[in-house]
Amino acid sequence: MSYITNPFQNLDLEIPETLRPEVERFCQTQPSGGAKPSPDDSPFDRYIDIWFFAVCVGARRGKGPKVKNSHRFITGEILSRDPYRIELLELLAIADSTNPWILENPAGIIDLANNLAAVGLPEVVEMLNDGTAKPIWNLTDSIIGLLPEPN
Amino acid sequence: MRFRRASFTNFRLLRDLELEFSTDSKSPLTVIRAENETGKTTILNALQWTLFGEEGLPTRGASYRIIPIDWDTSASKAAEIVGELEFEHTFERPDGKGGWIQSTDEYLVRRTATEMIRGPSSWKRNEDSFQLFKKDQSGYTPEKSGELFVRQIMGSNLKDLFFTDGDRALSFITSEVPTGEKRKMVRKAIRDMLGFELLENALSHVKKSAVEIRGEVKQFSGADELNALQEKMRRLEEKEAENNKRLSEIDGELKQVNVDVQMIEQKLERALERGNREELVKQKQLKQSQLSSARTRLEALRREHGELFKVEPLGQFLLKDHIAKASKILNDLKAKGRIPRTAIPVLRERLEMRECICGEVLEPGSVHYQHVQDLIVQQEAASVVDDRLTDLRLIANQKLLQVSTPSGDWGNLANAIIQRRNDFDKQIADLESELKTIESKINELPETDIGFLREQKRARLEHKEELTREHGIRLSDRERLIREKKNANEEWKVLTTQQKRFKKVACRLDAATDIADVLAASYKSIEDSEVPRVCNAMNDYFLSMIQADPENSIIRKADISEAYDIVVYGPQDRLLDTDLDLNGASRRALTLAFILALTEVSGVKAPNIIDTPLGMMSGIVKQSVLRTAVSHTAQLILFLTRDEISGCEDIIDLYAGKVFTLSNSAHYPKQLVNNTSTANMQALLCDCNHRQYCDVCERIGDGKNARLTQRN
Repeated sequence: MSYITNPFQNLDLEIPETLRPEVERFCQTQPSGGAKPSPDDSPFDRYIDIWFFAVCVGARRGKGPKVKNSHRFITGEILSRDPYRIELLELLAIADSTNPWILENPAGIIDLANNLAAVGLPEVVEMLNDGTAKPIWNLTDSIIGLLPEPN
Repeated sequence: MRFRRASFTNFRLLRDLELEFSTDSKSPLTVIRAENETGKTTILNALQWTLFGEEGLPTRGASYRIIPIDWDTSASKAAEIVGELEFEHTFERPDGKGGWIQSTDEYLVRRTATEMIRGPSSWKRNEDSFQLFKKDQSGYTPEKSGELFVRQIMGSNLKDLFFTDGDRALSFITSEVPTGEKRKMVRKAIRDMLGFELLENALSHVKKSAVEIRGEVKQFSGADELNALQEKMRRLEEKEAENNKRLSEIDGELKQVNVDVQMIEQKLERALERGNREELVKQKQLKQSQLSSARTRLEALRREHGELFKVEPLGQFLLKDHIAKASKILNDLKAKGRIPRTAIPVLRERLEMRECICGEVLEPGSVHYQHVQDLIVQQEAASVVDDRLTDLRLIANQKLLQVSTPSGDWGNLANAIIQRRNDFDKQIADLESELKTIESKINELPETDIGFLREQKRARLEHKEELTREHGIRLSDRERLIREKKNANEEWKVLTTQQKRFKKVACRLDAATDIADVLAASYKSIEDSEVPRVCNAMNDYFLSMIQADPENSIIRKADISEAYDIVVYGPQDRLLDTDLDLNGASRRALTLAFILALTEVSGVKAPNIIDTPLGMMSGIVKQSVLRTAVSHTAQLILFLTRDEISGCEDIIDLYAGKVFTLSNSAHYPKQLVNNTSTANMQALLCDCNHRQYCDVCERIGDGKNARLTQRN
């Protein structure tokens, strides 16, 4: 028996319902239709991109309370397009749980990710809006601000 | 025309004979008393030969020997034949007062020929010589075209009417001559005497001339050509005028175009000093294009910038601590030998070796062997997660390494994008600035549009080129038109010359047509009026000759039918047979009346020379015939036998200005009483009149004839 390449493919990825408009605003994907916004205004291509970025940002903050009202925007199958995200989610879960065999519980990993996303998304939104520049520049500057000072 | 004198030499019996004719208008009769075979017909032929040559001879001279039949060839085989005739002719011309002025000239005709005896029945006559002399105070003067003159005053075609005999005249009516031939003869006689043939010939000639003239007219066909040429010349004039007008216009337009071009060039020069709008527009378009391209690339860069937030390095950077922690956990597992699990290959190897690591033999089917197999299955079940962990350990380590490399440093990626975006932003800003500058320049340019001016200049130059081309063509056209006009003028001259000639020809044609009309009218007039006159005269003469009573006689009327039959009508206009119903005297009278009527109506004044006209006549008819004949001729020359004269002596006494007697020396001794002592047969003329005889002419029985007396 071999390890499943994407153990999360049938699991729901979620964002807090309250942040859904923000997510929609900063993503190229426009579920309600209309012209595609400029990347400068909506730096993220899809929901999965802002979700994963929020997971990473949220991971730096730590888990938060369980979100009561979530929006399942897609299944984990989409993660197959970027396998590195599966790897990072598994490493994140191992680090967070200090239990390597958490891998045997993909749903737990996704629950962790959804929780971290919910934690990270407000900060992400803040990063996008923090500044006088376009969201993409605000975000870029914010991330760069996170970078360590060059030696 | 009246005969005055005739003389003949070596003309058959007429070896040397001279006759004189009466020219006295009161005594127009000349009687030559002559019996048969004395030379009457010979004199007739000799007179005709003298006047008309061979044509005047029987059979047109073809088999007519002239040389005396008893010509003595020992002396000479050739005889010179001479015929002379003196005559007078009266010319008439209008006096301008409705009358005529007459003048009479005297002429001498002399015809000579030489005839040679070649054998008993062979002879040859050389071409004769004809001379006409006009007699004047100085003598006889030769006349040119003598034969033509003679034919004019007495045509040879009339000779049969003027020179005839009683027997021959009967051919007009006798049944011995076919009806067609008679009609032909009568018709010919009428036509000849009345000038029909002359008119017909003239009409034919005129018509032929008219046809020839029409041919000339047709050849010319000038009017249409002239009209066409005139139209052509008019068109050429119009074309030339139009061409010259256009040339003048083109000259003007060319001057204007040159001025326009010069002005445009000046405007251009001034405008170019301020800037070239066209060039600026081009630059603007280039900048706009560059800007558009930069913006497109910026858009791509923006997307690339967006991609920056989903690349692995960002996740690795943000989760760097978690990766490191997970890596430590996994490395610990590795260090503890939890991963990777290596027992399965060892166990499998031992199974294959049949020897356990503890030294126990592993026999298939043994408990020990089964135990090892179970261990392998258990190990394999747990190894799925273990393998992943094993992989993750490596992955984590690798990611940690990547984070520290430049390519794995999101900051580097971000800075690169930022730098590129900044560059692009600057580039776009520069382009936009340049574009603004250009637009500003364009806006600052005056209204003058260099491109427009250049377009104007180009259009004007094109127009100039067109005008120049048209100018060249029209100059060529002008030369061509001048040439065509010159040719047309030449043609015009030729045609007008032809037309002048044509007009002359047309006049000739008109004249010919008029003449033809006149001739045709004359012909018809003669036919309509003169023929009836002939008929009437003939009827009068005939009835007078035969002493017929128009109301009681058998013979009531003589006429000429439309078919040219001489016909005689009896009571109730019954047609009489001229052969059966008329006696010989009447038949001769009829033909003589026809001849005399024709002669009188024709107006031809020429002698009638008639041989034995009174044959078969007697008594009062003979006298009437003679009297009538004398009364209606200008000059009557009759050859009469003694029998014909008998009973007419008084009339001859009354009308005859000359009477001679002709004898034939050969008639001695059978008919002549005296030997004339001539060596050869010849006609002998004596002055005995119709009441006399002499030693020369005395015939047997003359002495006993109470009507005759001997002349001393």
